[in-house]
Amino acid sequence: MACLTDGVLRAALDGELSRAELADVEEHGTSCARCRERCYELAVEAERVRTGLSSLAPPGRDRPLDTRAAIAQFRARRAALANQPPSFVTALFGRRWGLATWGLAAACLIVALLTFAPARSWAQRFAAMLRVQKITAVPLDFESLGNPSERRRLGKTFAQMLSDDVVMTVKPGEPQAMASREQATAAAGFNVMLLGSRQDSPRLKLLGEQSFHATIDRDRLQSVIEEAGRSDLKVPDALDGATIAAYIPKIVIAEYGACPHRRGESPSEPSAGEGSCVELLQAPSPTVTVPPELDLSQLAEVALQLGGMSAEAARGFSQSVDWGSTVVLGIPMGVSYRTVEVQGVQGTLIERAARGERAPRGYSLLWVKNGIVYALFGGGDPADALTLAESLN
Amino acid sequence: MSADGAEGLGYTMSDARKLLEGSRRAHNDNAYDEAFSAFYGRIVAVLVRLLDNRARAEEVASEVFWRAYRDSLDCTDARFGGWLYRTATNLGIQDLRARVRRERYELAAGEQAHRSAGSGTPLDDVLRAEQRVRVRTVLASLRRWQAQILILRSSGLSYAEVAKALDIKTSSVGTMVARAEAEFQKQYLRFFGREE
Repeated sequence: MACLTDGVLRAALDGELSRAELADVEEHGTSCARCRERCYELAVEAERVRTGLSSLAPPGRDRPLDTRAAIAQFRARRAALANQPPSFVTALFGRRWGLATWGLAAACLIVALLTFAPARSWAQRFAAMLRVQKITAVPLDFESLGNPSERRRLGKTFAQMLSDDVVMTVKPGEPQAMASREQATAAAGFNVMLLGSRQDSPRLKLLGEQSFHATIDRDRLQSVIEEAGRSDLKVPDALDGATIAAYIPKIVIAEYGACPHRRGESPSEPSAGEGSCVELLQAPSPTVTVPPELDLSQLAEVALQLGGMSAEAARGFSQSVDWGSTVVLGIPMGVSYRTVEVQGVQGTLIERAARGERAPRGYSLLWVKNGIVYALFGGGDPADALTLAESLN
Repeated sequence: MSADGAEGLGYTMSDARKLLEGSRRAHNDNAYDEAFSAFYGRIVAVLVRLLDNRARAEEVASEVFWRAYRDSLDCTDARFGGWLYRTATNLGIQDLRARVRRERYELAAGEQAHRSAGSGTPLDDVLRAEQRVRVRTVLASLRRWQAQILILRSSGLSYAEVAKALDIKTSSVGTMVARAEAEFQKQYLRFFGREE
């Protein structure tokens, strides 16, 4: 019989083997001096470590644990969550729309790409304020990241990481209702556009400006990637400690028709001449500042590979993109999208197939014109999106 | 991404997940209160070992439950306990590493132990305090899974519980424990030399 593994011997010492397994170990041990010797070594090592770690045990004269007070605090925090204002991401990508369709991991990758993509242009050798001029879609295959529950777990880890390492310096506050287009234009500081082909008047809301910075923790990022089972991908050491700062200007949201409301918001009054729900978001391009030494194409390459792209394809793609002005949207395989012409510029139309009653057919259309980012969300035929967008005035 | 964006993402993900799975249990506040009562003490106990600071351990434990709630984990799922232990040890080790880096812990170890023990304290106590600092320094230097497996085992978790917490097979636990112990020994000797 071959010698026993350390794992089996160690489990035997811990009394973690079944009776039958233990009998096998003992039988082998009587005839194998080498395994007896190894077992002894492991026992000595285990005892040393056990002694060391036992010094960490609390002395036992601590005050009793006040679980009730801790629960009370937990409840208070829960109550506060319910009243949180909507965020840029929820606003820009449509709350019910995007995430329910794309799945959580997809959402997280989009966030990651959005975070890192609008980087400097390669010609620049100094820190720069970068602005979005273009949106590009790239198909990603999340099947490579394990089963659906694994992917969900990973998505959460990613979101957690982002929320931990990001420091908000200006918060947007609650969205303010705007009485008219003129008021919204004055408050937002840019010309607010509306959908000319809609007969009903929209409810207008203004979301305040936001700014934040995030510091890359290379080890943590790497561990997330390893958790995803891709220890072959390496986050470059040079990224560690790099700080990325971003500023997101005021966002104007125009809501048409009967739109479902969100937690913490009062139900919206149906507007006159009610139609199906359409939301138009518009905001000047966010600006992102990155340190000059940061090579974000490296990070983008890792993210793209995480999304199932081959190393060569990821390199090719990241070199073909002008990271100084392009936001890259990761789109899962199976979700269809196409490049369209909107208002004389290039836009991306993402179509959502119906998935039961809760998620009917719908679309999302994104484009950038004259420095303003537009996003149009709605239900029904994606062709409607183009008609609506063309009526913008 | 904005912090608010990331926070908002947690919020959005909750919504999305509810849509996707129609899960009514995920955000069941009463179930969360029960899970909190059931696990809080155990999670604090693990963290106290890592952090040597009861108040900080309680803070981190609360954060663990908060994250579970924020991300709409189903607290009635059989894997919930394992997730709590995993997250708690992840956060605990992160905290410990930061402290070790910050304080150059191992160098300050001796002085700190002497100082906090003060005069008139039995030598035994001083040595014990110093030993604790050393053990934590070594734990902070290990790979994360190694530190996790050692701290969970020393907190009394069985192989099956450790397997759940680290998302590994029960049959791999013995091997991983043996490897973690060997590494612990090696690093201890590297930092503090051989002395018995």
